[in-house]
Amino acid sequence: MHYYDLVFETCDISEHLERKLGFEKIIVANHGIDVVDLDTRNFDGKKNIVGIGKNPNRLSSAVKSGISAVSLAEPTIDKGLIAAMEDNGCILCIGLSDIMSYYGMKRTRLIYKMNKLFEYSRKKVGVSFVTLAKSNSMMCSYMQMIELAKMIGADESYARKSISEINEKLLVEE
Amino acid sequence: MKDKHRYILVESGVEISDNDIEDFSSGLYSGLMHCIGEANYHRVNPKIVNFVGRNRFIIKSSLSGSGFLIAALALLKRVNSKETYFYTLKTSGTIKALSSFEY
Repeated sequence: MHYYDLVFETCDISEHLERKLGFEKIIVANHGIDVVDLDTRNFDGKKNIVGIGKNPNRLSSAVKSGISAVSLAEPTIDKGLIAAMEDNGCILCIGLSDIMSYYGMKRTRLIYKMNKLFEYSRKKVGVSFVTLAKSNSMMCSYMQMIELAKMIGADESYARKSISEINEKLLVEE
Repeated sequence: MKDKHRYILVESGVEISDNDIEDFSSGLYSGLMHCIGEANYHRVNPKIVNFVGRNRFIIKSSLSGSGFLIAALALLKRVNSKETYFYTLKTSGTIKALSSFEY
């Protein structure tokens, strides 16, 4: 099984690091697939993007235009947005680096919200677990990603499928 | 009945010198206790069994608790007030298999 992760450009990625962490490929944002903050930037019509944002209306309109994936800045359930994602075959990306960067109650609360979002979404859309790390310290190995996905509510087989098959769909040749 | 256990090869974001081994170990156990929780710590029962080079070590846990330990190592970003991170590189039932890990 081949595993994939998606990180920001600020990470220092090498082939050695990919192999060490057990990934076939660590996808770097803006090298093939773009990661765009749709709260601050207008959607420019490009389809190979992961749209990040809080505003469900802006995200919904981008989803209807055919973007590849959405990552919610606040993991709250918006039924309209999930329905639009289901209709357009859009992937939901859950960023694991968020739970690594917080501590205590804030982290616990975030895990709870991600769990609710995952439980609601998994039957409707493909849920992708990626780190979306901004630095190497927020990255982790494939087996850590599987365990974090299980902590959020995925079972072993879904966690593996998410990190392999679903994440592979984010892979776009430059 | 004999307890089944798992060994995990871990890479640390900071170097661990010979003088720091005790401090590092106690700081790591305390951080893991925080991440895993007192109620579940005994299920994991982590113990560093070997240091490999300057920034790698092998940690032992119970077989059933190894998942908790792997997740906790991803969440743990500070040991003894020092910023760090932990990558779990390989798991095995024997130490020998981990000692020959190349990457």
